[in-house]
Amino acid sequence: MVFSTLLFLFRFLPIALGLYYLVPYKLKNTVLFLTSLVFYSWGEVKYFPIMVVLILINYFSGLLMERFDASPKMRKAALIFSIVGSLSMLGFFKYSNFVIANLNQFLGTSFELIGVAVLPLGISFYTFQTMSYSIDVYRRDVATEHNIIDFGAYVVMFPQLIAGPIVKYRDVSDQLHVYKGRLKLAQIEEGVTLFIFGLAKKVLLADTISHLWTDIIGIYSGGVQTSAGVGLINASTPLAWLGVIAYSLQLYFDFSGYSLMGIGMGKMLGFDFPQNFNLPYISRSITEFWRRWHITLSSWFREYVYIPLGGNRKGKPRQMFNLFIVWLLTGIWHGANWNFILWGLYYFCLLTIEKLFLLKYLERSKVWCHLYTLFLVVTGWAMFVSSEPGVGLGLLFQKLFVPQGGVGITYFLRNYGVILAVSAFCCTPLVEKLWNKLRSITWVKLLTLFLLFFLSVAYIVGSSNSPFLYFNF
Amino acid sequence: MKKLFQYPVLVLFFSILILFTLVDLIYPDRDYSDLENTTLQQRPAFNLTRLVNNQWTADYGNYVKEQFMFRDSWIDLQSRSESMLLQKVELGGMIIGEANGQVAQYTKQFSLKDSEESQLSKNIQYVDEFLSRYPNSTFMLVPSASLIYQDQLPAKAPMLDEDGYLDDIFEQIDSPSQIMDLRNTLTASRDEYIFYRTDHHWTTLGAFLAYQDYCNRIGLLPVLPEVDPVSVPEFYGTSYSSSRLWNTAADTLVYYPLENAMTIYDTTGENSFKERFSGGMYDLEKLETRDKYAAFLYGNNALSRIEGNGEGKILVIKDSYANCFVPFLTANFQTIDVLDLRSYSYSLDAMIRENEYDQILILYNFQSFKADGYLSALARPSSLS
Repeated sequence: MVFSTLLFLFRFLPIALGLYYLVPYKLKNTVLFLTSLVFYSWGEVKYFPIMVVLILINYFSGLLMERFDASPKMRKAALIFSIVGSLSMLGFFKYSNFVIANLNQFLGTSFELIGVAVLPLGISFYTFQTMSYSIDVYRRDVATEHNIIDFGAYVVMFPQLIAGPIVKYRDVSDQLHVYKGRLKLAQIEEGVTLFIFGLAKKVLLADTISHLWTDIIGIYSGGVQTSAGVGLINASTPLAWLGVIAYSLQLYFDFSGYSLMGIGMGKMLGFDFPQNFNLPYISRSITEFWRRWHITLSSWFREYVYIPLGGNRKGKPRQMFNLFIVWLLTGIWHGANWNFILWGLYYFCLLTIEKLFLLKYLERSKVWCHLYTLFLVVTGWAMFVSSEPGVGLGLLFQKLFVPQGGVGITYFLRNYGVILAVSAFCCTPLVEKLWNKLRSITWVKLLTLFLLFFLSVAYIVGSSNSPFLYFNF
Repeated sequence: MKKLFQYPVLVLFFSILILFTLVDLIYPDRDYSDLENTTLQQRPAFNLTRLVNNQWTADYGNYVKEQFMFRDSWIDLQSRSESMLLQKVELGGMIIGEANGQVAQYTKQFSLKDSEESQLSKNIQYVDEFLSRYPNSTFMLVPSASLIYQDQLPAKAPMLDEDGYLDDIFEQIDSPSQIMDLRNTLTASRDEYIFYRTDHHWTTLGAFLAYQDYCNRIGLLPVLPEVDPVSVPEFYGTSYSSSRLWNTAADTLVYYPLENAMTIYDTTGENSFKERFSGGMYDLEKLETRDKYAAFLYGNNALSRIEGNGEGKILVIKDSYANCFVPFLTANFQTIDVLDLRSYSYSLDAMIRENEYDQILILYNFQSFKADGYLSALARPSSLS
């Protein structure tokens, strides 16, 4: 199920929240677990057992680690069992077709594709969450969870299931076991506010700006073109840039809007999830960008890959190698395709260059550092989007970097000018300043929030095509 | 309770959530959206197989969306926000431009889809082959309003080069004398009301100009019907259904109340038809509804046979553009057969042989011609002995 649908807003959400609020406090986790399972299974009923198996694997490996507390070997075996369990699921669903297709191409073999066309909803997110649990138990950072309902509720909790934030078990384990007094009105109020902002970001900004990009490349559904754009091949260089900028805005508002809805609903349920985006497009360097973009993913990789590999404690060459591994994995995590690997390694190079010498110059500049960062980030998104139908890496980069004529930007600036300006404004801290002014007057606050909510509902009712960016995750 | 009201956002949000959900649950379902001119998803019956295939869940989500309370008002709100807040010139796949000083809505089309490119080249072959087989046939391809009024679109709108496509299509037809290119005729009269501004069809006047051209081409005398035309105001057509532009001015539909009899047949096989009903050429009840253009010839039917006042027989193979064109032919022919290939997918040869038509007219508009998957019937060999 997708948050920005009427089914979610006016069927699932009131039922799930109503049950959650009304049942006796001891049953709250059970309700959360069951409603989340419905949420998860709605789009692909057949994947229900996968979730159950994943929960069982990690639950039992946690118990094993506790049972054999004195035996390092057994504990390690249990950890490996759970990590192999989580990763093999991710590997099978997300990467097997990619691996087989490449094997066939390079070795001339002809293995049949075995993977699936549609990934289980949010598999890249929840496998990382379960791994964080097992690793933390292994490291004795958290206690083993004995209650399978509580554990299941953590894994499949609907607010963060589809698009994060990637919540570590230890972030919520305390709250999961607070039964009485879990809910606080102030927290729910804040959650509602964040949820409405997140919804507006997704529906009013991301979906609206996305049309500029699809006006160029067209709309595809399951690889079949359902609507034609001007065609990337016909676009001029300025239009190609405008399109990629629009895509960059769409991606940010879509992803951060979704995360914000998740965080907001987490608060409505009594949980504080970590922040996931912090105005990434105002960064002054690529290093800073990755401290502001998808924060929970970066911190996951830092904690469970980079630091265990030795981080920066084993000398420069080893640090470079560790960074390389982290960014290779980050790239692969974003999708089973070469362009994502390229995109990850692109960031490895940029971050290495910044670490070696560039960062200190950037920190001294005021304007150039922003232009530098935005240019490189947008170029990165061009790599990121290049595997979509209708694009192509070679063609897109040729359009971007070999100046040429073609369909110009006049019409698109005319049609999308206002939304581009509003989107740019919403990428800056000014929007929060404005909100802090507005919310000091109660009726202005209410008017703003519910205007956004009503408009979002209107856009959802009127939408014929709301892009869903997470089928790759 | 008092404490609760310290949290107005919370109170209001949950009140709205509950209120909307409850009202939506008891809000009556509709079969059809008149405004959108489309059928709406009904509550799907539960069925285990459909659940496992994810069809039930998908249908149910669609059902909630399409039957949402006050759907039309929500869509109007979105359309207003798009045009007034965001200042867009494109609404629901329609480009907002002008025609003769009034707001007009044009179908947005920046290029052809891959599937349309291949369909178009096939369709050209079918028509070309048919024209060479039947020298008494004519191919009339009506250009889109967005071509005739291309300078009235928003600046630099990257519309598809329909002019180029039409050149290309006509070039591929071996016998140019069988082609009717209406670009000059319609452009010459572009100051008149020849296309609807809220609908994708041409007006009765636009069709009459084409009829005059056609008569001149086949050596007949074009006749303006002697009866007074009837004007039907408040026509909001298909383009409006898509855009829902708030300040749209309604179109006026015009028809000539000719009394000619028409019989509608359903297809039962190759050259085999079954009568459905007889009546006049106009479905007057449709004039009371939103979809007023459907009054012409009772919309699109497999075969309609009209008794004319002239001489000879004509077969019109067509899309909906022909519906307001065909009534003019009653002045010149004794029998007018109107065939819609979307409801007749057999070979036409036996039918043409049996009826010995004096003239055959293939009448399509560019928009449907490029995408129509039913023209293959033109080239289909007969299966009758």
